Amino acid sequence: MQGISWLNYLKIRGSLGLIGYASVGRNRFLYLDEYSNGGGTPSFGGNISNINSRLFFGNPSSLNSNPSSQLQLSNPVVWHSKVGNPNVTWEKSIKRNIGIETAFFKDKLLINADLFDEKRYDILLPRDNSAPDIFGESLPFTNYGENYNKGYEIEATFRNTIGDFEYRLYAQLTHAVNEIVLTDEPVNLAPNLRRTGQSIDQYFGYQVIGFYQSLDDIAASPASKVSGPVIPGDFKYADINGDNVINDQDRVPIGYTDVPRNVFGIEPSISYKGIGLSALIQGVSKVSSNLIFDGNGRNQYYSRMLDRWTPENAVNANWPAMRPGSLGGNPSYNVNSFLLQDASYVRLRNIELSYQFPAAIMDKLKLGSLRLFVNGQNLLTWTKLIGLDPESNISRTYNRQFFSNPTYTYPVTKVYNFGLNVQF
Amino acid sequence: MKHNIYFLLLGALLLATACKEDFLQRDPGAPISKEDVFSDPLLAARFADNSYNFLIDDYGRISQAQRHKGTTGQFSDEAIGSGAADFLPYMTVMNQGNFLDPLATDVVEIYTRMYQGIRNVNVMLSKLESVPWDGSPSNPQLIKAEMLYLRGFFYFELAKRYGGVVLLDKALAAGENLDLPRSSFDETVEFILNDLQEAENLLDTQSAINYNNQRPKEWDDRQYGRPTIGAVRALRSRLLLLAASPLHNPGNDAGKWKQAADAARSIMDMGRYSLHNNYANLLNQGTPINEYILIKVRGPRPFNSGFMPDFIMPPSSGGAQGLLNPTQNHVDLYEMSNGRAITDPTSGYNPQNPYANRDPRFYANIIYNDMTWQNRKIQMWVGGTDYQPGSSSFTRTRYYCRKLWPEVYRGGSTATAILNFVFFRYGEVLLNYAEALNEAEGPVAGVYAAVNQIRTRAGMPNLPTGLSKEQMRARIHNERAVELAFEEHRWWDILRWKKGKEIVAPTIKAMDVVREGNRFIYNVVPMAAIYQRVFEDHMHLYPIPRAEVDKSRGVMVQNPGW
Repeated sequence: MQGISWLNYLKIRGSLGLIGYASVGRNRFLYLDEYSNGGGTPSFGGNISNINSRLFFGNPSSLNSNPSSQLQLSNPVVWHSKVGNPNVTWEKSIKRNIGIETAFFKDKLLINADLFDEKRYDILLPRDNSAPDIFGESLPFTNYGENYNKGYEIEATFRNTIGDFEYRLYAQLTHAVNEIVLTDEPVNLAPNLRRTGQSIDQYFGYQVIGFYQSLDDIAASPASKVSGPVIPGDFKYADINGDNVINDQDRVPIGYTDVPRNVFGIEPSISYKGIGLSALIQGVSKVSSNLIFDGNGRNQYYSRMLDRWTPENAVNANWPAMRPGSLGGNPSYNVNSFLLQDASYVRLRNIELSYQFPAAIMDKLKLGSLRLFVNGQNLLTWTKLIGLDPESNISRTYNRQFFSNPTYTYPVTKVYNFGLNVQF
Repeated sequence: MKHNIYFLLLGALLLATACKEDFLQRDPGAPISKEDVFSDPLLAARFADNSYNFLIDDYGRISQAQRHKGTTGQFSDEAIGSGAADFLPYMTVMNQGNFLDPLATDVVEIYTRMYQGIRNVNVMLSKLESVPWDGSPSNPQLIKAEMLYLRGFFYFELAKRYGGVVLLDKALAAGENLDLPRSSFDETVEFILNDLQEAENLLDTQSAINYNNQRPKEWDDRQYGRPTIGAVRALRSRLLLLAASPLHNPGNDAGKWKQAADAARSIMDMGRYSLHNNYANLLNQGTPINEYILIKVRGPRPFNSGFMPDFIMPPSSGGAQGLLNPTQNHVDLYEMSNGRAITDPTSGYNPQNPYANRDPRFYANIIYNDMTWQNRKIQMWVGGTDYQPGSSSFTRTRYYCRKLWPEVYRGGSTATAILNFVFFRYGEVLLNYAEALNEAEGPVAGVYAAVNQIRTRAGMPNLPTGLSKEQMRARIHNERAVELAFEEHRWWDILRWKKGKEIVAPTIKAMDVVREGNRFIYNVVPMAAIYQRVFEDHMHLYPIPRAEVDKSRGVMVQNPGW
């Protein structure tokens, strides 16, 4: 870097790798084909038999209603418990990365940037979504799917000292998007329902185009076959496929996924003669949440519902009409573009004020160091999300297409600390 | 040193005895290979037995989350499903005619389940020859008969829902083309008939340790519940009745009705089966009776979970939810005990004393206001113990279903009873015969004899003589609705008669009971909108589940109208 005074460090780096994944959250022995001997308790509670359960033949009177006695008296069965594929191999991914590391003005400004992408392929799928059910059992896993993921990361640090005054600003941004290139889907699936070409875990739902304003409005609109009957004040959904019926075939990709596309952080800090003030601000954007207040039939209501549609409040309504649970399923509480929320947020993750006692005092007290601090976590949050905390998303195992018994995680808590740190 | 020698000897003994344990004994639960299964007659027979598990073998099954809730009768005019939140959506999709909805379990789940059963059978049939059966108690030819019977049953369940379906007589391989076309309904019937004929021939000629070689051939008591010749013929009777019915016999070919009548007749001629003496405890027999042709063998249903407390019994009787509520439409089908319909002005029916002097089967099937039940009077009025306005745990029609509720299930007791799921009973065979023979030959003596046999057992007078063919048809349809109530017949009868618009679509009604002093005022009232049904002509056949059509490159053709 001779002759360039403002640039004191420059490194360009890159990597290319092929990685194999053996165990992808499932069984490691996908090539094994297995049968099992035994079976569950015979059905007796009043539902049709569970497949692969034990069987009883003989006189009903020789059984009593005790499950363990039923298990003992019944015949075991043998069933095909695992469908193996001897040809399965690793899932693979090709990862590429190119980066730059720089330092300017005698290390006062540091900027690093990375550009990356990843092609994951030979993804193991059982092909059950595309194979007709006449096959009669689960299909074995095969190496089939492909996903593509790309993005960039930038981080920058600026630091400077003016006499006893030091300041530092660190900022970081990650952007990543992914796309399902190839997955297991029915060959004639309607285009609006295809996951191919969408992000992994893309939300699908109904497009809300307003409220039904009256019975006449309902009669004049395409017939709704979403959950129970519609009443005035329910959401009116777009008839995407134009068949004059609103049903699950009219769902479209809406919003983003529950994994943010952008994640950023800013960390400013200043210090002067042992007094320090630092903060960490974090945020995410381009993320959706299917958190809703589904109180229907569960006797739970929220203040948001005061804004509901009523004939008097039809113009300013900001929530579907309330209805008795006896009407059956509520069509307005299916995932839709109104209920799916923007879960972006900016959060003051941490802020701290501290004082480091001078070394001279330490010597007199015969202490190594003494530091007094007060800090707080999650003190401020800016978000449009209504309901719970934007970070308490719905459990990932939960089916995104319907709202039923969603499982929430605990929201993050505000924490205040006051402390004295002594080292001998 | 001496001690050491003893220890060595002891060790050697232990090693020797360790091998005496039967190391071929399979530990249940440990995985085994396909070769292991089909080289061991015991395991192979168990694999075959698993095929039984795919049958539709109980009453309550429509709900997805709570699998013991919901009967097909609740799709029809027979009953409604009171509105429990976890159950009602599965009913409303059917009641509203949204058979393509993913919640329509009888459309979506049964299709898959039947093909799973068919695969299990086909795998077993393909392996049958290679199993070393010698020396085992199983006769592979009888296993073959069971498998063919079950495959016929699975295809029958498909045919009565969807019409013609994809016919598979071998298990498909994973790499094979799975996008196969449906066969016609007639081809499907033919396929089932062939399976049944072969099964019957084997059951007629084969024998085994646990299968009598005396006539009539039957399984011994400990194998009761496996198909017999009677069961084969009963399934054939039901199949041919379906094939002769208006849904699949638009030209009303009398030959098809004759075939159906002959199939039923072949069971009557066996002399093996007869009507049980008491209609009221027909389903509660722990020791098989001669009316049963094939039942699902189960122990008593537990008191504290499942079907009884969560589907049949309201809180007032020690249950949690009484969701199976017979409609007024169904109640009105019971004649007066003099054999006249309540609509007949000479019947003596009094709308203000509606439960007096009815067909004895009414009292066996229905729980109604002021009835004595479990040592007390039923109170169906507002403020009475057995009805609560606004609570979906109680009846919405002011009726509960007695037929599926043995009286010992009650509050303050944990007694249980047998409630059999009956696949086939002789009563149905007689009605199949009467219906088919009337269509083929008109109301001849044999028709009267069959129906009157049913009525006599119930305690009802004979049918009046001189009925026309149409009048007789109406009487037989009514007789089926009453005699076979809540036994998973009504919905399927309506579909095959193509009478959904006449029977399911009209207003579903309930009884309103008001107590005034010590008398009651009865008013028949229409039910709330959610219990009313949409039924259009194309709904007599179920749609193929949408996903299955989506998976096909145009080969899988959807039923018309869907």
